[in-house]
Amino acid sequence: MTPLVTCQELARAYGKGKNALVAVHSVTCELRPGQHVAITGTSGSGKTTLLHLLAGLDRPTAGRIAWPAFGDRPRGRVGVVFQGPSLLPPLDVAENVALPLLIAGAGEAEAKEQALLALAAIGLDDLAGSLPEELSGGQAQRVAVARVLAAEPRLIIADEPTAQLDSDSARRVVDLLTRVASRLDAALVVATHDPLVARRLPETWTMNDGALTC
Amino acid sequence: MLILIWLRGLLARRTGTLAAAAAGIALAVVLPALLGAFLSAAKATMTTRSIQRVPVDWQVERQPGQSLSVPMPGTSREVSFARIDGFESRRQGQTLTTGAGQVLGLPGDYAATFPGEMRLLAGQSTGPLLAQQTAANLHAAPGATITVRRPGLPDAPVTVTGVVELPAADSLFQRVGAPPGGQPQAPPDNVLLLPEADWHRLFDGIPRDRVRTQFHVRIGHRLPPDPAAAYTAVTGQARNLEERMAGTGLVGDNLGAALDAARADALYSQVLFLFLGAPAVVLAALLAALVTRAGTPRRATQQALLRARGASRGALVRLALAETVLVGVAGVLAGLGSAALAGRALFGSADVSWWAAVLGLLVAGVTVLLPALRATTVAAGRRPVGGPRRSHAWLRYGLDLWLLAGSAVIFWITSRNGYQLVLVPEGLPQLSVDYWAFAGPTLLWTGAGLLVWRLTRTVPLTWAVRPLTGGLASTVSAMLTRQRAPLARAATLAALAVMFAISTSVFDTTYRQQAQVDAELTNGADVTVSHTTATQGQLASVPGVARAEPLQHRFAYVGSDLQDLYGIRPTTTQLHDTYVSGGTAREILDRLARRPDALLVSQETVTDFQLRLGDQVRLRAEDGTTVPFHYAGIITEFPTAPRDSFLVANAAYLARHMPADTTYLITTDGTPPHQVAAELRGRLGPTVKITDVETTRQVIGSSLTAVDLSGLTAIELGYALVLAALATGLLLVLGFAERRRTYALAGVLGATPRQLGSFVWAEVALVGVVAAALGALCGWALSRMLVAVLSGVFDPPPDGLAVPWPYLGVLAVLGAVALLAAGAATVLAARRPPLTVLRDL
Repeated sequence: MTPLVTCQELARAYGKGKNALVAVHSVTCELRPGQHVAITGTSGSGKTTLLHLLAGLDRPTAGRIAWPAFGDRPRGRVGVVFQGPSLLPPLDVAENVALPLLIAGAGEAEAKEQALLALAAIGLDDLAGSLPEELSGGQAQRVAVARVLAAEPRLIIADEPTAQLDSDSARRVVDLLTRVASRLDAALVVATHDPLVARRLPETWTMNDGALTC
Repeated sequence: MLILIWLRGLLARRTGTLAAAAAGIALAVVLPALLGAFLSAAKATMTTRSIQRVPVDWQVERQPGQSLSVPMPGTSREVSFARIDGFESRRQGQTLTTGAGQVLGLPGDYAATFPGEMRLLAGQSTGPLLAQQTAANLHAAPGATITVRRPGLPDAPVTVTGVVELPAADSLFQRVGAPPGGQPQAPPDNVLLLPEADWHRLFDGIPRDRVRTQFHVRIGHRLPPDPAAAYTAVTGQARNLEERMAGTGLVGDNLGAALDAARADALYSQVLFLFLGAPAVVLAALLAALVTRAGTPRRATQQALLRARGASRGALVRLALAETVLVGVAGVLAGLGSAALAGRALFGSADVSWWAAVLGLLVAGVTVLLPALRATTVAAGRRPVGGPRRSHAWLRYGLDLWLLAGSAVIFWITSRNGYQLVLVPEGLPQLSVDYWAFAGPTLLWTGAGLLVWRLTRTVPLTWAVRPLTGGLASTVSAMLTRQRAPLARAATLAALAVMFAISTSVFDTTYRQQAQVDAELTNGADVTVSHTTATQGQLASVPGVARAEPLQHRFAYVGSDLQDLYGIRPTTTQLHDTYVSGGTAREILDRLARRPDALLVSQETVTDFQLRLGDQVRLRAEDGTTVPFHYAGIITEFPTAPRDSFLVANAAYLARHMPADTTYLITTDGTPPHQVAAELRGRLGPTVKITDVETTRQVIGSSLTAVDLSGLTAIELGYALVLAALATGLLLVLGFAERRRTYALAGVLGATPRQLGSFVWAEVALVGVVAAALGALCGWALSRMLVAVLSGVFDPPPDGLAVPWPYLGVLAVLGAVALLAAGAATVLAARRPPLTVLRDL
């Protein structure tokens, strides 16, 4: 099975010289379709930086990363759920969910239909016309997941998606993520502090001072 | 202590935001400060020019049989006047005589003491001097001997030593103490200036009622710079002198009269300032408010955080007040400093207007302090995206349409009644200003601004942006729809800036064009030559002369009404369409050309004498001969003609039946008219009357219109360009800055640079098209209204609006460059790695 992402001796440092802050170093890993991984680690251990590198949102300062299934440009083909609010404020819920599809070149009608289906799948179709500012934190995160679901990516990366949620909402979001990933046969990587969340995923990697233990 | 920490933090970490806010306030301050400096400088210039233009400040006339015991203030010289029966000269066996005239007795240093009173044209300045017109009438040159016909005494011969021009003859020969309207229609044609001793030798024996004595006085010129204050000071001094003379003398206050006219000019400048400058001040304040307001979301967030951490409302207000003072004072100082520098460079005055500082602090208070006073709770820190779902009340009730309708109605009523905001009655220096007419342009400004806002909100966005955004049209449309308010603000301000630039420049160009036409009407052509024996061919051969058009002039009676009669060649004469009535200028001239005895008359003559086209009109020359003409059309203006009534006929017919002096209207080949005039003077001699349009324009223009209006328009046209560029470019950049998060998130979701660019360019195009189309349309309407309402300023009324295409071209290019620069900067910013942007926010 072709891996979705491969990393070899990956490193990311901020700044230069003596003052450089090394967030990630010597990371070698691989993600395959259907693989569900939790990445744990203390604050500042480099989890978010690694996720950004895996999603193609950031570039490594050393080492090599490749997305054999996506070509050179993974952005837009990787579903990303951020820790904080990530919905576009001026667009309503349905428009936010449809946006990645439109960016990918889908027609307006098709994108809208898929967005509504994704919202219905997670039980938020009644919020389709709401603006992000009118949603609770849990609702906004679930809409972010719906946005991933609608785009049907093969790699889903979630950066502490439950950090600002109560335990019930957190459980619902993680269940949703795993269900979506399973349905799409996608690889799922979730960075989390929460051991309860980590335990819901079959595989756990640990970050410690920028180094990854698989 | 908290305030100091807060300010230190702002200065260290929000330098750019603070600088932008201060720059916005400086922008609002600089124009009113500069306009204030302009007004002060213009008024001071008007006062100075009035003083310089008056050769003799006061003419104090001794009353018959009285002696003046009061010493004259300042510098004074005694001048004697004698009314004589006429002059006579003999030339080649022919005797030339004139009508009644005046002989003045002047002290030896008079010309040096009052140099503006006379200008030597030929000969020497000592000895008997003949006025230019008199020399022409008598065909006398320096060295010629003329005879003075003295009342009650034998004729006396006088040998002329020089020929002079008397530029201020009107005031020199005024009737001191005469009531308004009691002054002579024109100064005497026949004037001889004699040395004091000669005058006494010749005229001490003539009847006393033929003689009067004046003291010509120059008072101290340390006067207030404001013409109104200077007028009050000078007239007060004059009345004081009259009171001390106790009826033995009267003061002819030339300086007071000049300052009175300047006082009217100052009022005129204030009217123009209000009409042309006030909208720019309001626009600048709005623009500054929007620039400064850009920091409001940041402040709201910070205040919410402080409030959440226990800061009291009072503490928040104190912090906001500190930021207001910091930004306000910095902006005001920068604005006043810039205005002072620009004022010194433009018109040599750094006397900026301090009320502009109050305006700047007001803008700072409204945009920085007021939002802070409102944001008293943590919840106030939330940033709503869509704005109020319900539209504003003014939109629902159509206030913009009501305002525009009101403006149109006022304009229609005032136009129908021939109403003019500024009335310049003939012969009276005062202006009559009715401030009610301000309502028309004011309503148009306000209505147009609100209409642009409405249209920006109602334009079908998806359809409009599809060409640029393709498949993302509905998304971009949705984004713009929910951000209509900032979009409408940018489009409205940009359209108003364009409207201001267009209306100001069109008004200014039309004004300049008509000033030139007025000068041409007064002077006749680039250069006018009269009282000459030179032929058309001789004049045409002078360097700088492109064409010499002969024009015959004499007087003729229509009934008992003596009118100027001009003879022209209709096939070669060129006139403006506004000079005729009942057709174009060409059509009327063709009508004149078709019939040798055709005659063009004024509307007044048509009405007074009940003329119909084709009627015979019998003109009577001054020698009593009668010549038949036929009425062929109406002419309203003609170069060199008086305004009320005059006649125009074919030159050939006139020459055959009523021979007259020929004047030549010279068109130059591009050489400055004053140079050509000097060349002609050198060739034709001092007895030939030569005037040029440049000098005429300075003479007929008031102190303000001749010089200083250019300063006002330079400020306003320059500022209009800055406003248009900032309104189109800066507001877009500020709006884009607020949407950085949106673009970064779109980038995370996979939007390509091209797609991100389409978001930006759609907004740029929308603002650009709205500003250009609606700004141009409303600017055109406002230009028409300004020219109509200020029609009293134009003399003669313009054919149509004069459009300054080069300036408008610069405006269009600058606006486009500002839009493109704003768009390009945003596209570049949107290409930054999205995570970097999200981390920074």
